[in-house]
Amino acid sequence: MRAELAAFVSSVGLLVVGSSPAMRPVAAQEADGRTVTVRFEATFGDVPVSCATTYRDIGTSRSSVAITDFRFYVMDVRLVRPDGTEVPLSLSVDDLWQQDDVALLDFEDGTQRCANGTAETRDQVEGRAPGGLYTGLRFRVGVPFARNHRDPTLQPSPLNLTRMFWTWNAGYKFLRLDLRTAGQPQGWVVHLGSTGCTPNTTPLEVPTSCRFPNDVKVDLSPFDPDRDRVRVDLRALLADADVDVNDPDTAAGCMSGREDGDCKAVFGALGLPFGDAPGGTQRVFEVARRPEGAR
Amino acid sequence: MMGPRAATLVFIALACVVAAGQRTAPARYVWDLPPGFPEPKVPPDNPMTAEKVALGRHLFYDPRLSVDGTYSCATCHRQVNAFSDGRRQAVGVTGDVHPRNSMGLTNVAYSPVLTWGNPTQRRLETQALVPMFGEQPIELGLSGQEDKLFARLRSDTRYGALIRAAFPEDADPFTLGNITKAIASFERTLISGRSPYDRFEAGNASAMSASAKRGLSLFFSERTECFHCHGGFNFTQTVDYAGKRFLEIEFHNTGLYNIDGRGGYPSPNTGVYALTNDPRDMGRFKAPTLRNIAMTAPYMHDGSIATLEEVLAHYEAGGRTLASGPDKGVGAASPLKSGFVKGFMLTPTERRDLVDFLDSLTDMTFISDARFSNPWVRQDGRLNVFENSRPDVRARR
Repeated sequence: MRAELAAFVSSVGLLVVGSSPAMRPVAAQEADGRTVTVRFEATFGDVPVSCATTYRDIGTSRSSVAITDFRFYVMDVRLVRPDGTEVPLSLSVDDLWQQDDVALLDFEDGTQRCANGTAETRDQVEGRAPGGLYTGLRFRVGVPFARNHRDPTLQPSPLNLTRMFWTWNAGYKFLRLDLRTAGQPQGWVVHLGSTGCTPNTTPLEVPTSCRFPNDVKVDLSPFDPDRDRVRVDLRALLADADVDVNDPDTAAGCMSGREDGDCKAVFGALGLPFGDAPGGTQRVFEVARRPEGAR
Repeated sequence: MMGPRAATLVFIALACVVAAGQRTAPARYVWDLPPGFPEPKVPPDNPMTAEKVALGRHLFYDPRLSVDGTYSCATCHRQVNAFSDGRRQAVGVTGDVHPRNSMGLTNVAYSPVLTWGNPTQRRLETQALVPMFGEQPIELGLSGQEDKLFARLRSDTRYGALIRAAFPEDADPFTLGNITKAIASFERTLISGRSPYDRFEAGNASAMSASAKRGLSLFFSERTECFHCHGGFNFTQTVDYAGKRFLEIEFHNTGLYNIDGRGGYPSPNTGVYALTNDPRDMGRFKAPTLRNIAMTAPYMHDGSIATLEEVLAHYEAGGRTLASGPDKGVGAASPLKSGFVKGFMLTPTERRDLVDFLDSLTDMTFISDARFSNPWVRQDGRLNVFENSRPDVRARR
């Protein structure tokens, strides 16, 4: 018992030292630190995403679309100081929307066409960061590799939602946007996740790496976390896609398949490489500027 | 109603109390293995128990495991078909046609890799999530339905007893992990090794016909090369069991398609390639067990060959040629084809002999074994899945 206790104390000590850049007592850190809430909004252009709304002029065919699901995971959230240095946002663990390294954003409310969803919605990521001024925000859309390939039935919330399972591909959907469109009333979807995952060579183990991680890198600046919001603009996501047709012999819409022509436009908007396109800067997440003093 | 059932319940209850009081380790699970079969490898986090197997059998056959209460695991894995379904391709609960032929579950406990061509599927526990929650295609259609699923299971008092017996240490045993563990435990019991061939191997020379014996010699010959991919006690090279230290997983391109002259298979059935996106993995699929193969027609990952005779013709030709249609091509010319699929000549008698040998791998006890049958069937043959009231409660009233 004594040895276990000592080991526990020392590991706690290590943790404190490791997470405390200023090497100051925890209490002082807490006093200096602050809660940061990064707020998100999901839109088609300027119109908020809702399960009850139909959106027009979407994609190259100027289609009419309605959502039946829209959720995504974010990880690796960092705040950027004016001098360019990054500070990780230490996510608060609520065992519902957030674990320490991953958070779920959820813009469906389980009503109307979104009946397979959940009543709860989520439009923010909460955490703590050292006090001070922040002028930028960086994060990735995705699930940390170490969590992405474990048995999902053993994972805590929000990684236990079956709608986000991508079991055949040994991982999670990082982002799921399900649409009904004028031309594809049965569904045209975007299911983003890692592909090309190399199987491990030992029994009962999970992939060791994925050739196409497909996590989306977002870098927003200037961004004031006390005032601005992150807008995820689905009109921009689909701007170059034709959501009224489906590439023959492929999944409905884009389920991240490398042969699926429907993925080219979507991956391009997300800044992900696809085919001959090298990838670049994503065009879907942007800063929604709020008037001075507004939340 | 208070007869043997009540007595058994009392006995089980007593046994549980005794076991809990003594804190003894759970009794070692007793496999009923055919002679010569090794013990299956079981994940350390899901040791076999009779209680988990019983729960898993009820879940496997329960249509409440589908979105509209019409499909169960057993819809596409029917005991009479050695737990395949006789269809060319499976059809899901919403009408989605699966790109794949339903695999038989014969001896699935010995498979270190699951489904037709997915090197990442290593555990029955996680594989079960694919038919339950998969959306491409929709099979049981449970994605996003987990709350409703648990409400349905909780409403049936029979499940309360089954799941508490299977997971006695859980405060609330109704978890997805427990459901998949139980289904996996039941699936691991689906062991088949009592065919005429097995009786022949055990010394009963008359168990196989003369034709089947000649077919056996052909099967294990360098002329046909069948055994390279279908060898071993399970007639599939890819096999695992307790105590085996090496992991062996094989996938093969058999030249079934060659749609582009470069060995291409039609999308989405591209085999391991669909997972790894490595061009060398195009068309690589797992060699299924040949045990009970006569009961699992049609054949191949996409059910595109109807009979065993036609399967042999494919291998005789060293790869299938499709002369027309969108998938046309000369499989024999595929640069990705396994070196063992080199073609051979059979006389009509030899072809008959080989089919007779494959028929001798049929284990009739497997498809009639009551332990693997539907537990929800009443004595009058009707299902009692949706009769939720507890029989002993009803009797007392």
